[in-house]
Amino acid sequence: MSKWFCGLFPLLMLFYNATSAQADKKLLHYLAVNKLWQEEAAYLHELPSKVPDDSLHYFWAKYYLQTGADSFFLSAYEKSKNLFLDDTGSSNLANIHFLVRPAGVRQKWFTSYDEKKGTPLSQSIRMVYDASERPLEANPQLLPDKLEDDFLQFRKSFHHKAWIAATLSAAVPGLGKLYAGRKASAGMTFILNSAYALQAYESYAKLGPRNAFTIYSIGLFGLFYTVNVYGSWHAVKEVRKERKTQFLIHAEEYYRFHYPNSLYF
Amino acid sequence: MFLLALTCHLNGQSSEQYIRSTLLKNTFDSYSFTPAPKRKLLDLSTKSFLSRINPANYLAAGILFVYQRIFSEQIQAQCKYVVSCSEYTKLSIQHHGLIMGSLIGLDQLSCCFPTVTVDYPEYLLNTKMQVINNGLDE
Repeated sequence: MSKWFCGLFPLLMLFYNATSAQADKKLLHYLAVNKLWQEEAAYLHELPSKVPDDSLHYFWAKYYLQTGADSFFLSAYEKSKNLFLDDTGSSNLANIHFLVRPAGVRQKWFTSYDEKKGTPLSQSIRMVYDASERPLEANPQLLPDKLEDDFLQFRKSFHHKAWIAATLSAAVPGLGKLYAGRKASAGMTFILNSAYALQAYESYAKLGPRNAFTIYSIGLFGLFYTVNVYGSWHAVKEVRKERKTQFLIHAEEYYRFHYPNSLYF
Repeated sequence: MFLLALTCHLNGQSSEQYIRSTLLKNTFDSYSFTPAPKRKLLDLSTKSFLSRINPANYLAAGILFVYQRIFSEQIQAQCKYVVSCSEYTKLSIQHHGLIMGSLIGLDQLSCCFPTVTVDYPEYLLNTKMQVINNGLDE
């Protein structure tokens, strides 16, 4: 079907240009649903003489939102802000879309988003975003029920301190990783360090301190012991980032599934 | 009419080609051989002058080169991470310097065992149940 459409598209455009004087939302919807991006861009390039500037930027913003070109979208959105915010379906979709985009772009979108025109859905998404940025100040009961567990997990990781994890690991290898929430790694680190410590102790007892193998064993144990302390410190920070991303991914899935929105209807 | 006829003819040709290429792909894909990607040497060209003349960096580069080109292929090492431990160490040394980079690489190595996947959220696991260790955006 789409191949036929691609072939006939130039002919359709010739016919269309002669008869219409406005952007056809049905055609744009059809192109968007069938992911005919090149055809949609070609159609939008044809529009400038027929529609006002802000409408044109509004359609381009929608186009960039679908294709995931975030910086182009933000620039087109800035030029058609009022029109875009009046369209609740599109602004909701943009809100959902930016939950899982890189931190810089996400922040840029949510700071530029005008809350005054927001719907209950966009306010709820905003609350999720604020909770992800300032988890210790957020109230989990205000979030959707299905996201509460994820949020509590994420907030729990914020109570963990990297220096405590490092100190725990210095006392007992692997304990810091257990504290950070990496149970399997904690067990393996403990076994690995115990094995190296036993090997170093045995070679020290049997071969003496000046033996090359003893020096090698102690060096190896020292290296992995240092790695374990550093690893625990690093794990706390990594777990924090991972749980934040996981929370935002689940939030995005939740909103997409429970509140389906369309760009053109 | 001529344009319409030409379009139909071209579409017919391209669909025949498409069917042919799909058939070939489905029949012979399982027999195709994809060679392992060639691994590069530790790159210090972007580092400072002191880093470039530090012999310890070259020692690390040499050890990783020998491991990746000889031992890794001989023992058919299967890493639980998408970016293997040796490659990750190399990248970490390039990015963080010798001491911190080695610590980060060795930390991954000490956690490289089959059940480590339970420690990671599902978005960091691919279909082969490997941990995606290069996809974090923050």
